[in-house]
Amino acid sequence: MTLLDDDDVRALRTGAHFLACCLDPTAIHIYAEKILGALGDGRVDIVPVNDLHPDELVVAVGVVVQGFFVADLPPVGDEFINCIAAIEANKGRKVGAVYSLAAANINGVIPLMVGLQTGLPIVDCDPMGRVFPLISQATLNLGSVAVSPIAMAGATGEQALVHAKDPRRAERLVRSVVAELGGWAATAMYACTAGELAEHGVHGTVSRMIRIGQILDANDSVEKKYLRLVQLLGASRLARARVIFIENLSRHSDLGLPAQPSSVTLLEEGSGRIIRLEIQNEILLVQVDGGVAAAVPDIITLLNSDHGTTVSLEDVRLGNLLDVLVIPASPIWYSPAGLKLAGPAAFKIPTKHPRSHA
Amino acid sequence: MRRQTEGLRLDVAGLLAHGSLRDTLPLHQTVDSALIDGVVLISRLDSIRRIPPRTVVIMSLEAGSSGWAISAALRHAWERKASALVVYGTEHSQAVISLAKRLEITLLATEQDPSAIAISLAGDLGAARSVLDAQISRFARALSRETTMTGVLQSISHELDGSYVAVDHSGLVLASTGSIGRDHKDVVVSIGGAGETAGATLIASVAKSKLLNEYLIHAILEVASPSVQAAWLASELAGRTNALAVGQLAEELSLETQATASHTELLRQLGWRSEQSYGAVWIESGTETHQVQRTSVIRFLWHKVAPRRPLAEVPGGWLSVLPLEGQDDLTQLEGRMRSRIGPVFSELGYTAGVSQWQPGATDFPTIVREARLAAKAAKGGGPESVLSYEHVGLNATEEFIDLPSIHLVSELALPELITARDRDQVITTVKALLDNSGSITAAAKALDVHRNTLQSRLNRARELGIPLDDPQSTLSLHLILKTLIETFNINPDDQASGER
Repeated sequence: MTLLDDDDVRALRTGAHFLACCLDPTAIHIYAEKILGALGDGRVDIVPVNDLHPDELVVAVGVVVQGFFVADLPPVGDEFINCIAAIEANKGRKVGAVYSLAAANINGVIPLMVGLQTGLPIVDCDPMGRVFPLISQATLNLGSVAVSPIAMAGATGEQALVHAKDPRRAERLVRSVVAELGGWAATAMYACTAGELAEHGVHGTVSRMIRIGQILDANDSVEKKYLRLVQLLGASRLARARVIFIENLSRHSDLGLPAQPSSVTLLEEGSGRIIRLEIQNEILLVQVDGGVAAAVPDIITLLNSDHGTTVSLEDVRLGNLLDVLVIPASPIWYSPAGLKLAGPAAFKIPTKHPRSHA
Repeated sequence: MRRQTEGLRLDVAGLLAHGSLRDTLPLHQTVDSALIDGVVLISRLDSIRRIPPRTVVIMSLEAGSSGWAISAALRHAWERKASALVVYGTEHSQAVISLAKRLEITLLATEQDPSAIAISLAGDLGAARSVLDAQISRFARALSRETTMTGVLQSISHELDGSYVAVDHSGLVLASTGSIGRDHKDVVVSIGGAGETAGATLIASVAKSKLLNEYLIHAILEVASPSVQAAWLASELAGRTNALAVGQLAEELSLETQATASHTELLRQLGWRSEQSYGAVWIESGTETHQVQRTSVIRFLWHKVAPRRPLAEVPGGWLSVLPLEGQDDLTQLEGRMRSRIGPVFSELGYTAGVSQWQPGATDFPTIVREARLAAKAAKGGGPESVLSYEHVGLNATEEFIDLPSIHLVSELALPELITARDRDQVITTVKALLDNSGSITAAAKALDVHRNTLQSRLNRARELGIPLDDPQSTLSLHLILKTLIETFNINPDDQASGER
């Protein structure tokens, strides 16, 4: 069990942003500040999943967003406590630990707040190993662990509990309720035993965010940061290129994905290569001169070439010089079932993943 | 061909100006107008991976028109050397236009249904192709008048602007015509058929500057293939018929007997004239087992030497008998064989032997035996794969030595020699003595050793059981030593003066 301090929380915040390369990291920062403020009165413990008793009840916590961002409608504070209480009431037993719904972006830091509020330890494990936009895009789903019951609570004080066997149906119900709750909702789902989480989850993902943050926040040269990221994550730099075009609504999307598609085109000076990024929540696809160089479930992120800091997609401007980094996702995502659930085609981009052999 | 087909090729610029692409909007047009051989309407991007070069790719409504899809299509089109990419909608980002420029692919946009453009372009291509079909039809009519291989190949070459045309079988050029340029491309079609023609190909080497329409060249060769096959089989049939007489005669005489009066009568009936001189050529299949199916290939090669003389397949090889006027004819025949089939025979490991010329047809068995002996004595796989009997000499005897048997005898009769540490030196010494007719002085000089040294080595040979002093054994001993030198790969120079 590891007790987190202020530096760990700051590093985790940076790591959560790096792994998401999201549109707007404001919510990450708001939550991280709240956690830092509360850390003096409480404690956050990170526990490896294998340290828990296999029968211990654990539950994923995270926000689900549909439209508005959390920053636009701030949480009251009891949303997650109510969600966990609803799960405990439904299961008829106490929750022993919580884990992140997605070990990146805002859901990478949420469990810390929940841990501070409830005193529950945070499991160093998650069901995505990165962040995906849909709750069904989880390794636990691949392992046939039920997503339901799903407890939801909004800033209005309203709550809902969804039961649906089919994860895709659960997704539609949750999205509808979230829209009614004000655009975002605190949720608790994938309630399972620690043994099931150990078997089907992605291990070490919370501590990985902290290590990434420590690398990026260090007072090192950009090249040294890259070197350490390569060693830690197996990351590779696809290109260092300058933004030449930005397009919004660049392709059709009817999947009910919670963000509009857009694309960014960069020109690699020197080689003349043209790099195209397809974006929806995160970067889904990288084409180099039209050829697919990387695609979901690869983790694709952008760094400022001069400072080695994560670049939010909303801050990308014409003329920016950016590094496009690719980090391999958990191996389970490259299985046929994994690619079917979270490969490019699942995002309405009907192309084969470079690692697909089908 | 060039004049007739240049105007029939469709290109992007032409169709943009006044053809089926005139209603499209060029988002990027390459400087050089790409030629068009085909059109494909795709609904899946992966389909572009299988298109032939010089195809116009049209993305259907189903394939979409988003930037990433157009980028991927441009990439595939570039990889497959497509002529142009047509996409739906005219509002496209600069990003895809930049990629089209980078990959040098013409990118055209249309507000029409892309399938309508595809149909219209297919119509343009069909019209152009029908003109080509008319040209091919005219060629086929001209070809039908040719009955010989040479005539057929010359017709093809003429149609291809004098290009080199050849019939190839297993890497051997059996017949050819035309000239081959420096910068050319080979267009190859299979001749097809069963038996002798199976595996044969018809090749046209067309200068790249003339390679305007590979489709047409391919079509010409395809149309000509049956004619090549027919000419081949006709030639083979004639060859077999003519060869029957030689084969039958060879069988009658069984190659081992002397000619009799009845054989002389048979020769006369077969049209052989007693006042004519004849020579024989024997072709030996070297180390390869005699293969009957090789006969047609060997006959084709033989036609390069003596096109009108039959080549008979006989037990153990192939035989031809030719009328010769004298030694000059014989020398010319040998020269032709060396230059025209020698390199191919060298490659195949085949050998050929030429007899001496004999006046009259009565000494048929002798010339056949001479030719066969020369063929056996010729070195397969080297430049000396053709040998005339007059150059064979007595040394040819060595070619008939059964090395494995002699080696076995030496192991049984001279076991101490075989296992001796100084085996190679002893063998070299005794061989030198025998090569110098038993003269110790001459042998010592040849080996560059003192005669006492030689004497002591000879004593050592006697100790090892070599019967140096038995004149009856000299021939056998000489053969055994020659065999052992080859078997143990002994270099006499290494054994000469090294241990004086």
